[in-house]
Amino acid sequence: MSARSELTAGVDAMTRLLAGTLGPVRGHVLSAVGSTGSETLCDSATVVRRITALPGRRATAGASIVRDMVLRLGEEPGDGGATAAVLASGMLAYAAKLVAAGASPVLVRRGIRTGVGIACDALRAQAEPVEGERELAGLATAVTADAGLGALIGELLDLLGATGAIQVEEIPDPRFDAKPTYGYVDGARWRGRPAHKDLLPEGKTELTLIEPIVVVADCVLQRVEQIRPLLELAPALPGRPPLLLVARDISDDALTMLAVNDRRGLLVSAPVVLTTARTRMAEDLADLALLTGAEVLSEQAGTPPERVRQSQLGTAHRALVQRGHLTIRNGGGDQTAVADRAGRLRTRASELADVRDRDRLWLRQARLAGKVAVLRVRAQTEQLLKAHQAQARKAVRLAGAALREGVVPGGGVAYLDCVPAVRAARAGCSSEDEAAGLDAVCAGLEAPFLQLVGNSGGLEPRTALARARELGPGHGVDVRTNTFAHMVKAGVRDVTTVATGALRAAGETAGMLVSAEVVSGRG
Amino acid sequence: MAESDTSVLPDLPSPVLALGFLRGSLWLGGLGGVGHGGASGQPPQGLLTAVAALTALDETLIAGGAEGIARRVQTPDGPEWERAEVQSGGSPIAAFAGYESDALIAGTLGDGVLRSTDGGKTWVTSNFGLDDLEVIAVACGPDDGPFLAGTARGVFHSRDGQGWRRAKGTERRTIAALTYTEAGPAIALTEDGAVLRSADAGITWSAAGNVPGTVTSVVEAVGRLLAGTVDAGIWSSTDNGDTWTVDLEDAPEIYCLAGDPSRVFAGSALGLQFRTGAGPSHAPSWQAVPAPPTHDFSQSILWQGRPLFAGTRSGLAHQAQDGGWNVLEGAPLPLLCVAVTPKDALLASGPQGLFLRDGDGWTSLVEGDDGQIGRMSFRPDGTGLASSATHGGQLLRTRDGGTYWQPIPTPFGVLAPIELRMFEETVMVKTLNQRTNILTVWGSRDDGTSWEVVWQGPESAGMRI
Repeated sequence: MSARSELTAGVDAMTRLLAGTLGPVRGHVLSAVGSTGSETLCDSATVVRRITALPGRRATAGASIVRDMVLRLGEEPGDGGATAAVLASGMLAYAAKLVAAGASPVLVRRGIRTGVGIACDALRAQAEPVEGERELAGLATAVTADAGLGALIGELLDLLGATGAIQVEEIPDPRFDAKPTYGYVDGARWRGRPAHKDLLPEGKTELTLIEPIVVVADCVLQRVEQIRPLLELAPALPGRPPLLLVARDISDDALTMLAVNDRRGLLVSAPVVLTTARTRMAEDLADLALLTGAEVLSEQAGTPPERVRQSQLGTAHRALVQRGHLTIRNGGGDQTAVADRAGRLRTRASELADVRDRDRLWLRQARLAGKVAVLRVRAQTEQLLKAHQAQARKAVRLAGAALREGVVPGGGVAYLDCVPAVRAARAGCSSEDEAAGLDAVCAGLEAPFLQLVGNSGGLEPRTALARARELGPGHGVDVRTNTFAHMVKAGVRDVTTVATGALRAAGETAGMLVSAEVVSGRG
Repeated sequence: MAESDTSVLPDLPSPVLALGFLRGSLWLGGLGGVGHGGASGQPPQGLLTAVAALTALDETLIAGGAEGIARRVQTPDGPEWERAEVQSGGSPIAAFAGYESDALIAGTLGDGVLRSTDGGKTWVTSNFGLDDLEVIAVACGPDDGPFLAGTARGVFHSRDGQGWRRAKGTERRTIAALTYTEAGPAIALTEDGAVLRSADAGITWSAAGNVPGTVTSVVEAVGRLLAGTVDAGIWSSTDNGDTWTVDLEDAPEIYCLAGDPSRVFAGSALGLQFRTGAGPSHAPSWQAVPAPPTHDFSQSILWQGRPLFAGTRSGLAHQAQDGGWNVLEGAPLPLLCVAVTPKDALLASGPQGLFLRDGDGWTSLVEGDDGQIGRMSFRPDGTGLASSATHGGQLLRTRDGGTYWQPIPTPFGVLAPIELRMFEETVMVKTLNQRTNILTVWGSRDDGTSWEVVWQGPESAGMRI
């Protein structure tokens, strides 16, 4: 057996397991654990994590390539691993035969890349916006299989809009039937704490400052000289507004002087320290300053606190200081500048590959826009909590993506409806081998539909495919009832980002596998 | 909260700002607190004034006013008033909604919507999606929601009072009153009398009829919608707001309405009105009914040898020679401080400054912020001191019995004195840091020119001067 054949055998073995989990009437994979135990696996990420080796190192390498693809899709866009495996397998099965018959692997790969690009464009052209709470809830429920949680996510996303962010928190709850709860962040909230404990005396959990002036210092305030100018400036302002002082840290003589001034009633002050990661604190302080119209005081920027001026002070309607958070409501900053920065953060977030970095930027822009909600999942055990949290995060991510990018017909029909565009490109292709790559993409685009119908067991897949084509674009099989239907009208939809992400990943994997000549490894 | 003692206070009509039913019994809110026909128990003074919102939850009466929210709860020792914990900037409460609901909401004039899920004990702001933080009216649907909030920028609706969405069809309308009707539609009245109706629980609104007046309130009772106005009495509609006919024509300013299928009450500038009767053919028959006075007269002093009562919002009432009472028109309101000088001159201060009663009018002595006096004290020789109601940065001093005032700097900072007393040779001032509950007593031996801290400690120590 050639190296490529062994590699392909590994891909096929892994794909067979994943393909069984595809669709709403999906099968489960039974995994033997040790000598006596077993577990049932039902999602693609778990399946690929369990398969660590196959007989033969080249087959194992093939399985590893699929595993990496599935796990990558699990990170971003969050789903579509099994679909991608089926797509890749479909393309590979067709292309491998042509390469074995003498086609140039490089040109076939180029054809696959071209075909996938065309198909992705065709997918995006099919995208329709998601409108309303009910549709979002339906999408979230499809991910979580929990109607209550799905409804909550739908409501939150609908109210937050496409630029909103949902933070998922886990709350241990002794009740067996604990339901998730939620809340909206009223204003812009940062993690922070009072700089000294006397700010919130015993029995008090929060302090509200009314129409405060806001000073933001990107430095550690320790010395009296650093805050004396501020303590002279603030009480001289009309109406003697309270002072919210936010810094990296406030300690020693500076803190004592603030406390003495506050105790003597010379100035109502609330020194607050942000508790975000030190490497990210400058960003948070800058956001806070922008939102309140303050200028960040910092030695490096040439605006040391020793030379603070009235024009560097910000304002807010309310500032809420709690033991774990600082919340600003209706900051006095330039709303256009705030909107500009939020827009830039969104753009940067869309360009980042790292999910955590992207989530953080997304949260920053949502916070500036005042569009943050908190979803609290509850469970008795840590294991359940983690599972619920992961499920909720996945649903939030996918439903959010649907809100931004729209949805396409589900059930593999969106892929089927891309075939004419790829065939049209094939007609204009001068290279036979490259055209073979485009044909491979067409074959792959049919694979998810055939697999889903096959999994449901109600209809013969090829016959169903012919019937769906007769019915026209958008039509397919609702495998829950094994009836032909217009998929969008039947509520069977896929998130556009997931569909395109799976197709792109499948194209890359199939192209790489079809052009691989040598498999090297140890052992 | 002052449940008024009618045996002491001036016999003057007091405005009724809010109405509410607790177990079928009518309660009313006014400038000085809460009252009802069979009041019992003496709630603590000053807990709540200018009560503009009342609602009941089981056995608990919840009142909202200038200082926040207070609850009248049943205890083994009888009913007691307690202050609710409110997360806000201290804006006055305008309305409550959520009767018999898991969640209660309160509209505030400055802090948006407050929400409580523990029967009104604690309240947190809940303004997500709300564009205007001056919420004039709120309403709750018959199935514990959805909630509605009326603002100067239209109606907002929310399923559970947490996240708000702007309702369609009410943009740029100043909403004055909101209610849900038994038949289903929600009704909103704008300040200028336009009637808006929603058949989908407040999501979309369309224009209905018009009330010819400045609307303050609306209620569904005695088989019809009733709308109270400042300048055109009470109007009623039996077709869900399409057409309106006058129900009570010659009426003082109507501030609030409350009722049920068999009766309706109206709170006005001069007290309480009442009518019964259901059905569209019943002729309206409003009548004034006695109501316990709810003035906020909290200070009593002698002027011209006769009692003078002073209340922050009720103003000044002076006993006449014949035993009746005269309201001193034109007094600064809200009244911050009133004092009688050694020469028997009457001084009063308000947001506009410090004034001297001069014949039937008032003469300005100190204008603007400097004249916003919170405390005054005099010696028999005419020397007097006055402290600001808003800060402790300076005092005013007079040597001529209060005609000419001179500012002198003081070291009290942002803390306005809560007590100021002149003795024969010394002056004492108390300041209180309400956040830390630290009380400071200051003393001066040179009529306020220099000061030293005499005592400082927790308020609970109860230092008296």
